[in-house]
Amino acid sequence: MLQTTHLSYSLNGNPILTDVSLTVERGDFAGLMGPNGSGKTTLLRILSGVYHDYQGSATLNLLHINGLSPKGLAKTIAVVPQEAHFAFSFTAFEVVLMGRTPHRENKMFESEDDLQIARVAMEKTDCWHLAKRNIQTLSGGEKQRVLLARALTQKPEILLLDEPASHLDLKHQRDLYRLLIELHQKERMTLLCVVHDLRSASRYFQKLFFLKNGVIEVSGKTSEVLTAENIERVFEVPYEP
Amino acid sequence: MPLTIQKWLKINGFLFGILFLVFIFCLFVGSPVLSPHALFENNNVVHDIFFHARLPRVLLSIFVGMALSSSGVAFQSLLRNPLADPYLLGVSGGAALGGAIAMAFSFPVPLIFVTSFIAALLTLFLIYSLAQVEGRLPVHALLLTGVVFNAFAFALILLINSLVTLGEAHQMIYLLMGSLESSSLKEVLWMGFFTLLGFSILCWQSPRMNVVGLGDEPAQQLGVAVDRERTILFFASSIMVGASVALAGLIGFVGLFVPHMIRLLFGSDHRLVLPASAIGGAIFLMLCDFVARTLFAGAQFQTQLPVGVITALIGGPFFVYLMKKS
Repeated sequence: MLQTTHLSYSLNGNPILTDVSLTVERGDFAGLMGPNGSGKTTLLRILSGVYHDYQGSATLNLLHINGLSPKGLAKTIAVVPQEAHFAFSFTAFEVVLMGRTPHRENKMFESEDDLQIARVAMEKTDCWHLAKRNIQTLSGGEKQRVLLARALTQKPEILLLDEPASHLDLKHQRDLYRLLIELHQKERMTLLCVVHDLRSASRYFQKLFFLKNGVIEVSGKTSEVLTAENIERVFEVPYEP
Repeated sequence: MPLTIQKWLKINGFLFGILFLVFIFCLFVGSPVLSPHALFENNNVVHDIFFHARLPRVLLSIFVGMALSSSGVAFQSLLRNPLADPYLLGVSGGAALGGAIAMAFSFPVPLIFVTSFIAALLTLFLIYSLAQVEGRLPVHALLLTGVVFNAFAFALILLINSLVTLGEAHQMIYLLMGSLESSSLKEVLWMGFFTLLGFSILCWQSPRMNVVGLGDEPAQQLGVAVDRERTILFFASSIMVGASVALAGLIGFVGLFVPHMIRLLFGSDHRLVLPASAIGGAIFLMLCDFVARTLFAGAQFQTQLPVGVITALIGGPFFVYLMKKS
């Protein structure tokens, strides 16, 4: 369970998040929506232990995230970033295998198990055929699938995704949501996903949080949150169903 | 296809074999050519040249090559920048400044090592914090900071140089030139100790270097305590850069050129890149120094070429090529 209470965060004096209180229960399939710059990515960074200097509290299974070791945190929470820049020409397989880092106890090389887990993850996200390719030469969508595979390789309880479909073509968008549903239903994984597309949001997510200017405007069951009035208020566009 | 222990052993073993052959070659060939037979025949002249000049020099080139290449790999991973090099980042310049100060006070050799190490470490932290722009480390800011710091350190070294006695002044000029001459076997063995110490620490960290090279945020999210990791890598590479600068002065581009070649040949996994670059760096610097000591060794020339000239002549154009490419 992920929980924040009265969480505030500011960067160089600019408030990014203000008094955010939210709960993602174990087994939730939750969406985080909001205009650009509303603080969605910042929230994911706090939940994954990247930012520490916030006010209020952020907890994972009732333990303060600030008090957990990066390793322990990475065994429980995996993050699929929106994009990633690679300075070195790793192969896609090498990148995915890095997901085993928190599970490796001072071992220099990967075990057969590690290789198998990484391979299965890559097959699930349809990127096993890219295994030998240089990560720097992959397209945005291919890279996104590799990053998702890396997150799955961490074998987390909770998956945080930052616009995982932003570079995907239609088929892979559909496949992504199928996979997320499967992870949610079969592996009881908890999902918190930044999403922009209202149609996907209404179709797949059980719970939604609307974030605007660093404040949670509305939250609750998808059917209750996705109303014309809420959408017009948060996104400042007329709602046409 | 991913790195296995077999592949690791095979490639490092292969490189080590080349290292050994080049080592034997460099020990006996040069000016003058030494014959192994003469060495066993108790020929005093050959014996003296071998143990007081040739062996320390070749060993020093091995250790300095290892130190510069492997700290180059560590900097590249930490700064997410394949252009990072101890010399270009100003770390060597800082270490040389520390060495010059120690020499001006006539410190004994082990203390010169320590002073250079501390100066290298301070420089590293300084450059790292100066080049940071809103939490990011842009490539050009980093290199520019290094170049400016180098110029500043050089000026201070020349200032100190004009204040000390002639003998010490000569020693300091050697610092700036980058040369593998005139170290005793004892000093070289100290250097070997520091190099292997730093190298072992880096090898132990090499699996984490891959993740650190992805950036602070992904590394944290993959379970690596980035601050702790950075401190360890800074310390280990400063030990090596400090020691190598204290004995051999400023030798540039080794840490840039060698790891790049290794990555081209064997991929980017730091678990392999680190040891392979260390061995490759030793081979590279031994050969550069071989060229340096034999090129103008004829009777008509009075001086030997400092090895820093050779590495810069190779590394400079290579750097321009990399800049254009990136």
